[in-house]
Amino acid sequence: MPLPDPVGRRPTHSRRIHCQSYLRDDGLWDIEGHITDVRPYKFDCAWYGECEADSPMHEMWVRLTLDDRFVVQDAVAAIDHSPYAICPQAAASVARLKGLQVKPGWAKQVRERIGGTGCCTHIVDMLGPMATVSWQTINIYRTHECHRDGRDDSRYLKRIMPPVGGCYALATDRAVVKELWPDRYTGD
Amino acid sequence: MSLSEPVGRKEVHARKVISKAYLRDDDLWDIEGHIVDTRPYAYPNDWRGMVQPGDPVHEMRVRITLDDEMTLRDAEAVTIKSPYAICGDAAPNFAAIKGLRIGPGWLKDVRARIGGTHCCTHIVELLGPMATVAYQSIPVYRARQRAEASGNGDGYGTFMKPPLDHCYALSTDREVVKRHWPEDYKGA
Repeated sequence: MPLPDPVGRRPTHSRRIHCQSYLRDDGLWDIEGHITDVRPYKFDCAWYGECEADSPMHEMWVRLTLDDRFVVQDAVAAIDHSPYAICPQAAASVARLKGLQVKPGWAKQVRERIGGTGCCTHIVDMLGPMATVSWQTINIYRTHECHRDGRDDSRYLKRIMPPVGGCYALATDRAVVKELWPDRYTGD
Repeated sequence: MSLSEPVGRKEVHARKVISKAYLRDDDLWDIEGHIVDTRPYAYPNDWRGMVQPGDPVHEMRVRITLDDEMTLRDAEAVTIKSPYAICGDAAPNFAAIKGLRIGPGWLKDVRARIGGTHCCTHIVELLGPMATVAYQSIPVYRARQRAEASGNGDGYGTFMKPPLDHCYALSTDREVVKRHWPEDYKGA
């Protein structure tokens, strides 16, 4: 079902964030983020410089390399389009994420290491959805491999537990939890 | 792309987050968000059966309507693809954020009204980039209009100032601030 038809309007800004995860041949995981901001009009401002219509005003890339325990083995970033000549210097600081584990509290740890003036805001903006993608990737794919290969690996073959209590569908007093995880059900 | 060449690897999960802003004919702003999660392999789902490669795990669309002060005049969401049948029931609860204003404390207010089990996690996740797009749209576009109306050839630098000390380039001890806003410069 789509959203209702919009009223008459014209576009003024478009932001795209594309996160893609990969299983590497060496068994590690690459989680990549790519962000672009584009405006449909040319703007030219003394402190911002000139930017043509439909040309990216921001374009940044990030790659986190994780192991199966979600620990950051490597972190690199690149800035292809930015408003200031010094912006690309900020990319190197994502290396400070090495050694962190993607888990609850990730956003706070990221801010402590590369927040504020320590890095590029738009690179940091990508690290939230990239963390989600790592959760949507690693254990789920390892479980898929076990089923696919008929392997009995207790690390992965136990059912992947979604975040019960974390969203509407997984509320402990609603039907999904009652049916699938009755021991967690708190309704009547 | 300017990240280093990757090692051999295969795709596991893709998340696309697109946020677009529109100036409406009634002079309000629509900010829309669209999130899609896809996997390149088939996997079983209790409700949908085997989910085929490329068939979205999650797909949600959101529209908020803002005035120039960034107050939410309207808010609607739809769930197009989800892992549980009841996920779509969460979308109407999104309207509870009507009346909030995007600004300091915004995400805390959002969580209080539609966080946790009140709504859909992925719908709420869209509001981060959508708030950024609102900032990248409304004040910038209005500043440009004021600059054009005044015939000020130096663009809209006179009419708006970016947030200082929120990123590397706009740190008050670096050269961009020294050059354009010397009164704010705190370096040597």
